[in-house]
Amino acid sequence: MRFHSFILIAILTVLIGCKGNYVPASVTYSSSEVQMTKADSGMIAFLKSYKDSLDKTMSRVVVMLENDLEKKQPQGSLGDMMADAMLAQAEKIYGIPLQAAVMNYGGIRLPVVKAGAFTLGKLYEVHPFDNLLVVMKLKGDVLLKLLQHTALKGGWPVAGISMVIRNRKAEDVRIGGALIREDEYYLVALSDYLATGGDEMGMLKGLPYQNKNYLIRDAIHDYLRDFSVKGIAYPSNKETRVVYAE
Amino acid sequence: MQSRRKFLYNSALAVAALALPDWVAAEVARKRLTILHTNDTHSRMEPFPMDGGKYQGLGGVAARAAFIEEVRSSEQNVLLLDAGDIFQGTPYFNIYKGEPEMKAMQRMGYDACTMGNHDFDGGLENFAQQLTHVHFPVVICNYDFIGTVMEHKYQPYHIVHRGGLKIGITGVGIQLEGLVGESLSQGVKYADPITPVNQQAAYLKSKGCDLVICLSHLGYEYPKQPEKISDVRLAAASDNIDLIIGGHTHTFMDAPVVVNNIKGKEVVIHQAGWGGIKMGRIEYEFNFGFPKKVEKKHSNITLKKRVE
Repeated sequence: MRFHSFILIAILTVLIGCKGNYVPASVTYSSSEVQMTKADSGMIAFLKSYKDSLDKTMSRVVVMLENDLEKKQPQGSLGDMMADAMLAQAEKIYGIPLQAAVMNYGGIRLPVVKAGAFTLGKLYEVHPFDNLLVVMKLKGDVLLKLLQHTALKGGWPVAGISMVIRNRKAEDVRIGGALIREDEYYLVALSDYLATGGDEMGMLKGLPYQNKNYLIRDAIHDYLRDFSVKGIAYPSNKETRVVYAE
Repeated sequence: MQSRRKFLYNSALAVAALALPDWVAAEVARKRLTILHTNDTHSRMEPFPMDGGKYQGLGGVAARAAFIEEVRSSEQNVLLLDAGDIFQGTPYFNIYKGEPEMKAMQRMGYDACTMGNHDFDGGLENFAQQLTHVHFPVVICNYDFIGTVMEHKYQPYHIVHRGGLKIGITGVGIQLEGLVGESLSQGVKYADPITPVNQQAAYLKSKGCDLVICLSHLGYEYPKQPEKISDVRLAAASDNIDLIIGGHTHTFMDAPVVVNNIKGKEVVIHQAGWGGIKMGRIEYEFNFGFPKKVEKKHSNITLKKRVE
């Protein structure tokens, strides 16, 4: 055994002396689902204090939903609800009539919200960002550029706007039912994230916007809360806004 | 009469020749490294709720911790990595600003992470504050935070020694302009990742790293924007990187993808979806080799699916 060790050391010395190193020879891969059937009790205990206090706040029901709300392109009921909320609440908060609202598709963070009780926790999951609801006065040509970008991206949630997307280009763009005019000005509700050029909104960068420090999540909450106060469930939008040609 | 020295010499050769194929080869020349990785966990502290959704019951830090422990109990050399977007996505982040996410990762024993665009969502000051809860490094080589509160909170590379293996880790982040609100990332300078990452990787290889890993939040691939930098493009333009652990595009991969780098050597790319739903696992078997063999062996890597 001692002799074996000696040989081992000798071989090691030779190997190291030759400046060899370890070389990847094979790669085995897998990707396992993380199942809650096995849970670490220490971690559960750690999480408990956070979870208890959070659950209390987040389990409050904001409104009942008549149908499932879906995140979908070019148009989906979840995005419609969010754009409608932005338009309605911006009119209230800013005290002016607006023509349109645009939300970026990436601003919706759940693929679907089930019919029934819609809790504050779900609302946070749908739109976790602390984005602000701002208003911009956009010339028709700039608004069209913005909408062309949404067409290129496959269609974003809008309110007050309709269009047809053909080959990733917007056609028959209408604001309030009338064809968009490049020299006309439109009042549009959107997030401060987009207004400052986020999500490749380069055409908006540097343009002025009005800001009243009102969160988009609060806008959605207050909009839905109005249904609940009236004792009715939120009915999803039935209006066609953005469609693909053919 | 044979001298004692000569006898030993001959015996050593004889034994070595006999022994190399089995016990020496097995004990000395082969090593194994298990890399566990997550990306875009997005504040999913709890499992996905049982609401009929596609991912119901999956994920959560308690289940992830148990999973990691199980692997650690059966594997000697485990490396635990994350490719960014730890923050944002559940009320945990809105209310606690990233503290439970960071503390949970510390408890799970992460070795390193890089940063994603959403890790800026609470602003630079918040990010720096939350990083006080962890002892593992945030690795990124193409962002410059000079003059901001994040200045001393990250590093361009990190070297980990594990079971006689030396592993070099670097990281790359996505262009922030147009993705992260200006006020949230003020003062951060982004550089195209190819040059800095190749510099870091060359340095790590020159320091004798057996494996160089790049944690990336660039995104796997952008077929509609072929000019946009992605893991696939980075791999093809890279040198000295063995493995890219990706994120950002929330890509669930059935198998890692292998891309040849500028020298024709293979780079492995893997990503584990998002939300902590899945845990990526990559196991490397290493052979002891010499510089000349290294070249040959390196471009001969074999991919095998793990049998569960």
